Amino acid sequence: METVKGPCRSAEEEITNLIETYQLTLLRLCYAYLHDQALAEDAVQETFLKAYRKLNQFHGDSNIKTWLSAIAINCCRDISRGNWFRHIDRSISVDHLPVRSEETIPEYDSVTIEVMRLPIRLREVVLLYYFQDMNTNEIAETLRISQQAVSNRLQRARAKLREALSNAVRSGQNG
Amino acid sequence: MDEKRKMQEILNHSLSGLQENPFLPQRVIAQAKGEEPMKKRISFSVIIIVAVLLIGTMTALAASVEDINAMLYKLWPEAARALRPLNLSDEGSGIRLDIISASLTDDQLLITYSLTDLEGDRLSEETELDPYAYNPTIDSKYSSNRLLYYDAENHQAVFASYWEYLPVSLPEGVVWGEDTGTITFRINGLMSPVKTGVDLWLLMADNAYPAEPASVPVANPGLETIVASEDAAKEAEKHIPEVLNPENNLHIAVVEGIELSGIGWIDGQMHVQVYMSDWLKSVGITNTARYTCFISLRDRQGNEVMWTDEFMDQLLKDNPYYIWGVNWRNGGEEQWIEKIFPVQPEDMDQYMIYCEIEDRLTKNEELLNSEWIVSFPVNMIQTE
Repeated sequence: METVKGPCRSAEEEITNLIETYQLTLLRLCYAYLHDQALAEDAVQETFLKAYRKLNQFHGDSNIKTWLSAIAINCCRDISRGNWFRHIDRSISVDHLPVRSEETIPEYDSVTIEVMRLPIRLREVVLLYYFQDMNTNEIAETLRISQQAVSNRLQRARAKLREALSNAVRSGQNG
Repeated sequence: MDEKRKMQEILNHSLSGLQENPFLPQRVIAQAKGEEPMKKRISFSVIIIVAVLLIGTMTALAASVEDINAMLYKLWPEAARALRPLNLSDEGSGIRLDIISASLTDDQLLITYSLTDLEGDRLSEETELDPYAYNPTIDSKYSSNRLLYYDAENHQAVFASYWEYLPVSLPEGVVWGEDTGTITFRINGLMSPVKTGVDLWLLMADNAYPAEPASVPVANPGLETIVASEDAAKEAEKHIPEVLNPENNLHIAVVEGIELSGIGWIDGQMHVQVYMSDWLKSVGITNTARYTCFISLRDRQGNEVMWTDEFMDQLLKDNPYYIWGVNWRNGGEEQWIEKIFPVQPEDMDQYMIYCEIEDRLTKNEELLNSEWIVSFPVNMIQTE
């Protein structure tokens, strides 16, 4: 009988714990980035696979959520560079949001849609800053851009979101 | 509640329909283990490694099914033992699908196959399958399709497709323990996009052009802005710039369906107007343009200059906002795109107005809607 050499048990336990803790938030992050549930699931799986292989390289310089978020956003970037990804019409509307059992809050969905409609350079910064709670320094390191560029993009994104939100509110009032 | 927490609450609520996959830990661990040299399972990543070896070692590629299986055996006997050679084909639209080999274990399906263009060179290293259109399974939890190599001489592309599924969601038609189970491998579309580029400034060179300013002919055009603040963004929306009069279209053909309407200066800014006559169309399940033109400002070495953060910061140094793009449609499939760049006529020897043209359909339209199907019994490839 062959002996299958595998990673030590503690690593398996650790990755299992990480997946149970962070799978959902990373899935939401990747979905908001990619606009596609199947691709988002792929990205999350790839994220944890990379994390598992690099667990021994994680020394706690950042918090684990930040570390995973950085891996995830780069997985999303890789996927979005694929040719076919660019060919598919990925326009997003409220109707495309995953069906949920909770009561819909239209104002919330409007914001989410506007975040997902941001140009990708702005979207990734917004998702990391607001959703993954990273600071501008961590985002700069993750995206390999300057902190100033992160701040600029955040500023532009806020401007776009605010304008879109007030439009949504106005149209709601008119309707 | 602070801004961050509010945004987290909003996104979490709107995306609460996404559910965790309880089997993900096992899947990740199993996939990681798959790289171990003594593994029993077939690992797609190892297949890719084998593919790299194949590319490196095959000088004169033998395209036959037997030769590919023989090479796999030489390079990776475990895989070759698991992969059962198959000799099944389907042909359509001048493309032949050959199933080279396949393997089915308890929760994984691996198929290697080739596509050969019998009529021309419609395949390439860029060839892709619509990921939603190749599908031998239902409810697969993970799937991947990779081009292993492309043999230009024989117009042949070799792929490996891999699916992972739970025993409770086996491929449709597969019934364990019954010889009647079959796997149907189906490809519903191929695309091999071709990228080229052209300097619009050179196309424009000898054309006299009036550069007559005009109002945008629709009420709410799309604006692409670079802003320094939220207030600046609001302000920018109130100042829709004048554009080159679209009535003065020079009709300089860039590629079918795309014309350079004109290049001229308004208020000291360079305006580039492009007219697209068939903006979006449905081909099969894909909404796409036949050609697309991504316009960018590049230096003479081909490097994009407009989108460096340094360039944008310089743009905003003395201005709260910069509007660099205006686009509008006429309600149909026609679209006008106007880009506005902060460059002067005398500087144009430093720049290109680069239009990256992606040809998505000409070479492939028939293939986007073609279908290749091969079915074979499960017991031909079942290994465990």
